[in-house]
Amino acid sequence: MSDGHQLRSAIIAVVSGVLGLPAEAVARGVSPEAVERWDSEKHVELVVALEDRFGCMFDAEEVPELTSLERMQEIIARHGA
Amino acid sequence: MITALGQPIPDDVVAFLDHVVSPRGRRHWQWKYGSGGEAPPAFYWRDAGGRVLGFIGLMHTALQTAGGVHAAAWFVDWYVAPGQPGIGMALLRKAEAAAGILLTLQGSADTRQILPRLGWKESATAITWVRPLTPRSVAGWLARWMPAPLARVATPFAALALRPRRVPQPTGAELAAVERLPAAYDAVGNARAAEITAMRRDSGYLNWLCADYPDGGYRLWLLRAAGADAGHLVTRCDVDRRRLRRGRIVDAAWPWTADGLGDWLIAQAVAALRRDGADYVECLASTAPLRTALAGNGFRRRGAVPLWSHRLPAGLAAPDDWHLTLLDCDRAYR
Repeated sequence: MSDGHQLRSAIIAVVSGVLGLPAEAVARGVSPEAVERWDSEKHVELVVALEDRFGCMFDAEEVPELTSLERMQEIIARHGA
Repeated sequence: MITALGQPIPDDVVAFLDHVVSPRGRRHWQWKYGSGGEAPPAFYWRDAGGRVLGFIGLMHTALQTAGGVHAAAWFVDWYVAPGQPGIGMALLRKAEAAAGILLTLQGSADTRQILPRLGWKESATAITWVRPLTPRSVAGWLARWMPAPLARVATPFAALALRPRRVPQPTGAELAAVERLPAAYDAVGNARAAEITAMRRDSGYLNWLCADYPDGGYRLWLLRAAGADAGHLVTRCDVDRRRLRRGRIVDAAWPWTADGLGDWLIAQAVAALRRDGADYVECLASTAPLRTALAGNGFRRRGAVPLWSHRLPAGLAAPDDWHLTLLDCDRAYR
């Protein structure tokens, strides 16, 4: 499995845990528009969980961008995870 | 994207604040966020379509300690349009990076939910103290705790506690009303703050927050002891949501260990607010000298106002030991 696949799987596990959705559903794609419970508080929880899991701290401008698996993967990879 | 607030404040930012925070108008927001200086007084979020979707304000100050001075800011007016996850947290991160020590007092229900998840710590040693001054205010309080007929019977007895207290004037103590505090007071005000670990108490901050407040209502006094500036007093009288006249001891400072001076200063504040027509007086206090002076003047504890802090520099006194009053953050006029 490539590093990209491993990173995506790890992100899916975090998102699945925070949003309380099956990993398969997350893997098909998620967004705040599509997941009703993804409000501001849930977003904070998600950002903190991603930072804890990948040992990074997102810049202020990146925080609102973490709304799809693709963007999460891109931003986390930028932080060297 | 996150934008540092420029001057004058853009019209659409004023409109956002009027709509989501409070309809106070440009004069108020320009006073609060337009005082100049190099540090941005606020950040807001503007989307690709140019809409303002979020805001966080910063009231820059400095924590005075025996070991030195630390840049700090109170974050206030933190609001985001509904359905915009992440923007509030982004603005908070930006504020943290700009502030040195970033703090807030009280906070909305949403704020109190979110801050612990981001590792913020709560300190609850700042307590609101209250002293009723008129039968009207006593009746209002009693009606909260007992049936109306019983409250009517109890009110005259409870009102016996309203009589002014006589506190002797310490030798050499004088209190003079002033329009503004002079720059010569800065060394005294900041020394008083450092003795007890408090935010800056110099003429620039006090005059901006109180004397320059657009809707007025504050009164400033200079305390002199033995012929020299020794402290200050700030009071304010306005009308609360129950239409009672609310007197506030916004801030008070004196040589903290001087016998009787604090009791006398608080008694003077209560007397002044009584003359201003206050139905009751309230004060926020977190440290022993002010608490003792309030208790000695018949004040009773009401409720805690939480102080929130995050990532404090090593070696600082714990926030539980900091001196806080209504002068801190933007509590004085709210």
